Amino acid sequence: MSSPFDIRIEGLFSSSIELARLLDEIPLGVLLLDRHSKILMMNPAMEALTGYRLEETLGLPCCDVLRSNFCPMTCPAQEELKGGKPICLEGDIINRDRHKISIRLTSAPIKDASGRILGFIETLEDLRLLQQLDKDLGTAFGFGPLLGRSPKMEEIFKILPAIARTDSSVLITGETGTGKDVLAEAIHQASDRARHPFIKVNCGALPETLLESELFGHKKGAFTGAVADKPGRLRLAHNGTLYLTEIGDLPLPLQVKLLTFLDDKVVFPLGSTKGFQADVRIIAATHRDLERMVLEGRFREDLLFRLKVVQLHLPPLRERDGDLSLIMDHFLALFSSRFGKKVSGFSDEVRQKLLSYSYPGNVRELRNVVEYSVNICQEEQIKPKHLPTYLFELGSERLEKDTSSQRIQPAVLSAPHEKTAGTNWTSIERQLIIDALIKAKGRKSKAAEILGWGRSTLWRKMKQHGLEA
Amino acid sequence: MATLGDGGDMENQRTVVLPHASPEDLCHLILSEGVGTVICNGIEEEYYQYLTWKKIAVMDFVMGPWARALEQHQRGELQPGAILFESQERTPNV
Repeated sequence: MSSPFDIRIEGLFSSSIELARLLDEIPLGVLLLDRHSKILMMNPAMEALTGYRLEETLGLPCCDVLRSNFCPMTCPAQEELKGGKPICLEGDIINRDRHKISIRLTSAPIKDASGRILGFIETLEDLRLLQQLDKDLGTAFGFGPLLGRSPKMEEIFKILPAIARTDSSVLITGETGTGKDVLAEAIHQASDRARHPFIKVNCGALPETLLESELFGHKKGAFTGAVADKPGRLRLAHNGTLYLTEIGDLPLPLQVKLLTFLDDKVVFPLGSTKGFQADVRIIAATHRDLERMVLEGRFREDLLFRLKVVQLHLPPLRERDGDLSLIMDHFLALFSSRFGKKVSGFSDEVRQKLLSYSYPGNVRELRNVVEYSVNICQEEQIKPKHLPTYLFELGSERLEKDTSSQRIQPAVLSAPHEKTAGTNWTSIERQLIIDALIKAKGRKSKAAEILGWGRSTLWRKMKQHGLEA
Repeated sequence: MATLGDGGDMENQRTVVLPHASPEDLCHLILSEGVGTVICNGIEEEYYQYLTWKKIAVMDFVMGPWARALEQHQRGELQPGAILFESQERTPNV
């Protein structure tokens, strides 16, 4: 059989066209299978969904690549062999990043003139967007999963739909925990690119050489250990959005390469002279002051100008008047439902305490506080005893809300931080786990019970804090 | 589920059918049976992390007949991501 890239369709147009090119631009994942459900062809959307490249999967059973929950029970293709009718199923697949993705699969037999089934065509639709939209229907204040009714957030919400519709690069700034990742994904989901991949790359998480290969991909043999071609994240984000988080940590040589891509829109994998024209929208985020980094020579000015075509600044929670209460109640409802608890509200004392705290960790910290409290609470109302102890242990300065209308300057905030060094939420939670384990004499199930968590929550958090078994 | 002796020889082999598909139940079974290595194709990140945290080796993304995977594992040659189909098995029937 010839390579799938060489197959051409004759007679449809005035000249022949490549089948692969025809499938390339379809936003749904498309699979062509033989009679025995072996893979003959898949399009880039399917490659992005599964994480496998066509070359790797040729001739493999479809179920081994899709890994759907319905494959062991109902193989759509085998059902069609019996009935000969198209089948539509909803389920999930596990991709190469070990993520579970909700999908809708439509499978139809391909028949010859005599009605004999030759193979199958399957399309996979990513349902995550639809599921998110369903969830958002109940959200009165906000944009996507972002909540807020403070003037600063309303200003952002007002311009977001228009920004989402354009292809301009976006730079999101804001303190840690303000929701930069959530905003980036919300922009993607509200854009025309929503049906295409949203690919996230943390520029601070990988060393320079690995990051280059991760972003731009490499050819087989480009360097020691490059045993196969690898499509970079830019290639995988074709027609979609590439989200570069912690852009301030991007090494200078890669800043130049990214700059070149933003100008030419062509990706050159390592070791390859053949470029790929990628249509990718870039969203970048950082908690760093990029202007200052430019002055210090640590960030390229020309890259900054290309990235901040649209700049969005997410305000810290302490500047979002009126949002605290809304977000507290939202997280309470979310975690009560998720953990199957009947917690319906906060006591007045708790509400007062939570409203007067300054939240240096912003929305993420508030979320953690509410998650912890709902976990611990066995009653219908969250009382002070259910709150994390660090809220009470810290000096009163931190609990006093800044009532002045002036913006709290980082210098002002840094004083209590210094005093409480080592007593942030992370270290307190770590200490709580250690205390519970000591009380439980090392028995993790007992420790989980003391903390009011499930065993899996405990192991996840132990791992997060580096507390090995 | 296969039990291997010190030399890698198979001492025992059995099939376990769970009442319903549940990753939690499967993890519980793996732990309660003292399994040392799990060979599978797809596994969610959460369960992969859980099992590896429990010091269980997980060979995931393995594709092919289970007997061939077990043979390779017995020889100490099995790697995550191994595709164990022969080339003639991958030839499409069109």
